[in-house]
Amino acid sequence: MEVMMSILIGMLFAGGIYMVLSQTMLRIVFGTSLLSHATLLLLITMGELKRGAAPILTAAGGPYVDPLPQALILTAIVIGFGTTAFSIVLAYQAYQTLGTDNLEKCRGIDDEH
Amino acid sequence: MLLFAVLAPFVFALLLIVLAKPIGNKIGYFALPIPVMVFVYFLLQIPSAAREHYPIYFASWVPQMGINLSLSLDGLSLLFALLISGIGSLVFWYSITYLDAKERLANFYIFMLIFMGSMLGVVTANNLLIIYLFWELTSLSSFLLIGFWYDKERSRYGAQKALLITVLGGFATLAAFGLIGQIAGSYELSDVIAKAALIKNSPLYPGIVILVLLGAFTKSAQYPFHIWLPDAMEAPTPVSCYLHSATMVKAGIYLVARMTPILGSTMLWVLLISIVGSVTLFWGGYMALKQKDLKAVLAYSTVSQLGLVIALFGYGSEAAVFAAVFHLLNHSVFKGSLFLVTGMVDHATGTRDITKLRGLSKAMPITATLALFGTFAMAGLPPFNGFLSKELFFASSLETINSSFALGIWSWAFPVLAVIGSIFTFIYCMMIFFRVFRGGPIPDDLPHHPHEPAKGMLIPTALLASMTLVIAFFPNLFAKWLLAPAAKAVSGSLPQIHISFWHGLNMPLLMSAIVIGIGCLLYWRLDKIRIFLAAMPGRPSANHFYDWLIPGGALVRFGGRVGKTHMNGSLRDYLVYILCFFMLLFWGTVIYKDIFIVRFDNLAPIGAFEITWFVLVVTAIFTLVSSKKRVAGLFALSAIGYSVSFFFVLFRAPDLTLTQLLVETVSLVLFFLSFKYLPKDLISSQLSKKYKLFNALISIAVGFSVTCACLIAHSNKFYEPISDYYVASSKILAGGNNIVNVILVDFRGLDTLGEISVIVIAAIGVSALISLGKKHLFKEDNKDE
Amino acid sequence: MTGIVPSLVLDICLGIVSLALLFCLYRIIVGPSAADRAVAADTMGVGVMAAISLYSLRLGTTEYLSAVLVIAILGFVGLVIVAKFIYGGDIIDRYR
Repeated sequence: MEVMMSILIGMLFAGGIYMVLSQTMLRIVFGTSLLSHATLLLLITMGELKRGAAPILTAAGGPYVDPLPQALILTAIVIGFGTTAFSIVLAYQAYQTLGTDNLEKCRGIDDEH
Repeated sequence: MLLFAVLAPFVFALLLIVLAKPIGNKIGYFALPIPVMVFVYFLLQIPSAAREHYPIYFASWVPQMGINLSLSLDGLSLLFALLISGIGSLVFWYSITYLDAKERLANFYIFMLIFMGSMLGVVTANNLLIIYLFWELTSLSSFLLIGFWYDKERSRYGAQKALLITVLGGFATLAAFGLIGQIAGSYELSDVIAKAALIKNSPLYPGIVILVLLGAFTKSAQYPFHIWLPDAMEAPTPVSCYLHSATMVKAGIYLVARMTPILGSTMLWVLLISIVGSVTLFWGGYMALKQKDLKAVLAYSTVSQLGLVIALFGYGSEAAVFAAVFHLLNHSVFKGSLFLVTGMVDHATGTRDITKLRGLSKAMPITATLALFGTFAMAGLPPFNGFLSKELFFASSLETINSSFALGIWSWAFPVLAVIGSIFTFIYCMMIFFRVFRGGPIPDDLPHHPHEPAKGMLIPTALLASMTLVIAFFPNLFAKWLLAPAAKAVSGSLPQIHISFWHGLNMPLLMSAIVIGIGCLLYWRLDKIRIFLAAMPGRPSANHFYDWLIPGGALVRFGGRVGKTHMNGSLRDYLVYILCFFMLLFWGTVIYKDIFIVRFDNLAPIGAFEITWFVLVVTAIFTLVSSKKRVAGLFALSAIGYSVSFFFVLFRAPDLTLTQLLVETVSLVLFFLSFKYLPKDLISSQLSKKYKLFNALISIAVGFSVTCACLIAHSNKFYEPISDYYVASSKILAGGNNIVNVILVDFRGLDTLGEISVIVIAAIGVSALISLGKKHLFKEDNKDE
Repeated sequence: MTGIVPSLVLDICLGIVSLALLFCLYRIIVGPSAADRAVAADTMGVGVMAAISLYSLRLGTTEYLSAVLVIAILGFVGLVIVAKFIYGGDIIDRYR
């Protein structure tokens, strides 16, 4: 299972990076979203997989799966949502202001030379 | 008490900042007592230093790094401290009259005090790093003082040049001190001296020597680093006198002297210092004769004389070191007084051009007398102090012929260079005195009518100039109480030298006679020589290199070119750099540490339907990457998101499943909200095949690296997971059954607070961006155009 | 784990549901119109519900049932949003 997950995570990363490297804003937003999914899976794979029950204490007791990655991921999901929302709105505003969604055309202001 | 003497200038500098306003232009009178008091304190220390019972101060500062505020006042330190405070007192006194009340007097005196304090710190510090600290402070205060008239272009140029060159040297010194500290295991000077043999045998020894000497030579304006000193003459004349002839430039000499017991008496050390010193002696004299500006002549003369002292330290014999210390004192006295005289001439006539000045002795007889003292002492004529030290210098240069470092015929170069350098010195000294103060009637075209300067300038100059005679008549008094202890700190033994005018007919006297004879002969044809010299090139000089590098902007252009090759403004390229770097870091570590261990024995089972989910996600990834329509892409993304939530089910994480589902849905809504305002196509049309292929390669490489990292991390578990603690104490400490929730709201509650803050900030950002609307800066700018 | 339903049966059911999801994905990829994709996505939501329910049966817990509930509600909301988007190009009615 871990090997499969590793391959899956690698592919998610590859896809996400490919999306981010392209020039369209929306593709980049999709790419970051994909990267955050990949990171979530990476985190949970780092804890041992399927080595016990859900980490909710029961009368039966142990063994439970590692609860720490889950706590981390919970935080990561929420923050990932925050950044996704922000980047969508940023893309929207940039498109409205600059009239292009092509990042190669948004190179900032020229420095003095 | 020693600590207070060193820190007093700093304390009073702080005080002056506060008092500057109420005191107004009388600030000089308030600053003057400080150097005087310090001078008196150091005078009182002479007996104890001569008995080698000198005062020390020690306080731990950063003991973990071996930095201690430790001061000690041995003979060498005392000599320098007396020069610094003594000449400092006279210069402060002189400045009161010299500087106009309209100048920024508070700045001047504060900078001067800071300089004095840091210089005292350099010479009394007993810890290498403390020496370095004060060393850089002198560079900094020198920068501030050279740029005192910062509205002048030349001042700014000179200040920057001096700062860059001396700080470069300072940096080299720091490196050298670091190496010494590493080898000796301590930065305390006394400890380091005890381990001198260890340092000399270290393979790093040549590096240390070169770095130390780089610092000393830049500070003491040795060839080819002398170029900053003539440009530093843009400073007010008292500053030139104090910093750039009497004290600060001697810091380099001090460093050489201090390091001699640690690094000295090896072939490398002796040759490097003697050669550089001799070349500087020659070159400074040669350049001095080419100058028209009185101060420039003195500047190059200072370069030359510093070369002489450095060369003497290089020779390294007991007598040479004594001669070096003696000449150091003499040089400070006569060159200081000459600078002060120059200041008075400048003040009285409004010009420093030698070709314009004539016969000033008629209008300024006292000044002329003082100039006579200074120039004749520098030229090495009896009965002035310069003659005595020059004789010793010749004697020491002759000694090198028989020294243990066999150079064969080349060892004659040192006495020959000494004689040639001294002839130059003789000629420009005569030139200063006879051209400026004698030689016909006073010309009418001077900016001001010359007159005898005010007493406030005359008296300090007279005091200093008269020292040339005092030292000459009582040399053995100075030798016993000041010079011998100083020389002992360098060479380790107390020199038994009796100084007198008449040693009998011997080689040094002959050399002096040669110098005076040829000098007189050449001076007779001075005008022709000056015309000839003016036509001679001033090269090789590092000035061209410096002007090309810094003010010419070569460095900036080079930096810009380097920057532009990779900082091209494309976000995608930056990402590629970052990704490549991290892959390099990862694979480099994996290969270097040989940790590519992947084990497949500790795996969770795979169900058949899980493979289906795997296929589902992979298909969705490819769909997303290749989708041309944004809605299709979004659905693919959502499919991946929902699949991730199902993976959370598989991995026993109910809370995550729930959260992921909610977030996924809300994201979907958000995307659809924004779609109305975003372009319909997902594809950028102008992407070339090659470009896409490169992107694909990079991303596949990253994906592969992540997979490997993941497998390696899974196969190598070095520590017990800390989550056992959470599992065990969730119920006991926090009273909750859901361990994940307990971690979030109890054990790591503050992290969750941070998470909430992030969400709040994101929300503020979102609302700000939306309310920005279409009215934006760029648009308005465009309208203006 | 629990013996109510044999785990082999559950596995087979899960496999079937997964296959169904794959078909849905095919529709999402190929689907000529956005409406096809929307319906396929909603069907996928139902599939995920089924999968989660089956899997929690297999694990013998009730922890995941809230997730199923959430999908049921949000799936509907999502479908409505998509429908509105396809209909008007915007998902909020504005008074103009």
